[in-house]
Amino acid sequence: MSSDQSMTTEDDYIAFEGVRKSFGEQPVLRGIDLNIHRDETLVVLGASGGGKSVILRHILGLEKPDEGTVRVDGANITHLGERQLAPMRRNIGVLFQNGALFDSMNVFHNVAFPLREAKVRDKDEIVTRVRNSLDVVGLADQMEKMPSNLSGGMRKRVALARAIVSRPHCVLYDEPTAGLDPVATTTIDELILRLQRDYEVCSVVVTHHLESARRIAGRIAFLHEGTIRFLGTPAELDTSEDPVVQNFIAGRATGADSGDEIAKN
Amino acid sequence: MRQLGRAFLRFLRYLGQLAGLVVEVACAVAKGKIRWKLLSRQIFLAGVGSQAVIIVTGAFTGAVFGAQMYFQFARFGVESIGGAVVSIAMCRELAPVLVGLMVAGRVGAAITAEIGSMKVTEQIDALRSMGVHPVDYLVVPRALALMISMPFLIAEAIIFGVLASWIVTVYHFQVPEAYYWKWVERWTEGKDFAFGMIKGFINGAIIVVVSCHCGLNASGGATGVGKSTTKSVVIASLIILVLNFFLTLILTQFLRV
Repeated sequence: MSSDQSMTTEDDYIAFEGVRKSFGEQPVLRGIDLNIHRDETLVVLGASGGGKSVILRHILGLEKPDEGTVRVDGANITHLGERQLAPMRRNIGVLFQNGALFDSMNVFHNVAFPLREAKVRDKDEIVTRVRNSLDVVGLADQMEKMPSNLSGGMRKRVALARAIVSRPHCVLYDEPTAGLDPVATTTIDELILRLQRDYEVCSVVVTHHLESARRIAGRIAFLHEGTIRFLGTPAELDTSEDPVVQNFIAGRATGADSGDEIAKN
Repeated sequence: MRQLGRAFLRFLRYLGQLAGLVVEVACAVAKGKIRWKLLSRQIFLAGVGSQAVIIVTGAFTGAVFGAQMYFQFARFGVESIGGAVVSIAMCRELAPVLVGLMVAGRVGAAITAEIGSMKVTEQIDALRSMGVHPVDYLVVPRALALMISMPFLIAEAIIFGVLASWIVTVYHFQVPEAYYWKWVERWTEGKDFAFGMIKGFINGAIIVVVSCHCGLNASGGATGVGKSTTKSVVIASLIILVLNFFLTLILTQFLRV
């Protein structure tokens, strides 16, 4: 494992220190140590159901670790309550797996929502910023549509516009390309890269798409059985000699995932 | 025995969760976290949107009760007194309970279904991730809207119930109108009306707390939302029915009626 998991530094926006989390009897995170820098794109790669999204939920304080510490922008958020977390959360944009757009609002009001919550009262400013964000994702002409009238890819792009409209310090992407066709997948990947380039935000992308990870990642963290099995650049991932990493890259089933193992069970 | 103990513990935990939600709503209101736009929209949905249901419930309950009172009191030759019984019963018991049950079915179910759908599609997580407390945004406007609307809905049901009973008794059964109103006015006091208003306010709070709690704890996709919605209506209805008995005893003592 190539790792630079040193002590938290000024350059780190997010830091996990010995984070463990179980749901009932099922351990999901078994001691995660991970530092994510302010201007990098870190991709958390791993099998479906392996706890990748749980990492994102810990960053937002939507889940509390059973053990360990989560720091965001230097502050320990592990034991903060819902109201205490609010200022920190407003600095983070999130693209949820299915967009999580508000059904009752049209595209414009969905994207304007974070601005209104941040007490932006100037209507012209709201319109301008919403239009700019929707321009970035190429949907400025769809402002009046309701989420139910959008395709899956369009919903994700609107959700992306909503995630960046308040110019956050960090953007979290939960399976941004899951369920999309190859063209939509490339579009979303390019948007993530463009946002990274234009806004220089800290980006954390959770995915199980290897190709997407190679395209957008500065570093890749490979999550396996609740621990970070590999941490390094995409090039280092490809040359890793770890058999578990190699099996994942090659798409070979191992252990409990393998056909033999399933047949035995 | 052990299973009974577990069920009792689950029940206590559930009551604790409901109480926790009530405290959160009270704290949010005390801190002035009221979203007026959402509140007015919810008052419109809960209050104005329930008009047809409340008018039909109040009117036909009053009508059938008025008819029954006529049948029973006619045996003793005091059929004109039926209106007074209808009026008192509507104020104290029938309107608060029946409106409570109807609102639990119409508004409570809609609240659970809406909040539950938001929960299973991560919309509530999206709210939280934007620094918006779900209680402030979703529960407080609905709680205030229902607690404001319910007394008015009950007052409306009482009025339509008494009017329907008057039409049935006076125009169908030919009871002299002057006697009908004389007994209604003589036996119905402001305290009876207050009885219904207080119960309405409490029933409104029960419906909103139960339905929001069920919605916020929904899980398991569309099936889960359906189960939560059913659970919300059943629990709110049962609490309204059971608590109504105890409220009657307490309020009778308190209001000295």
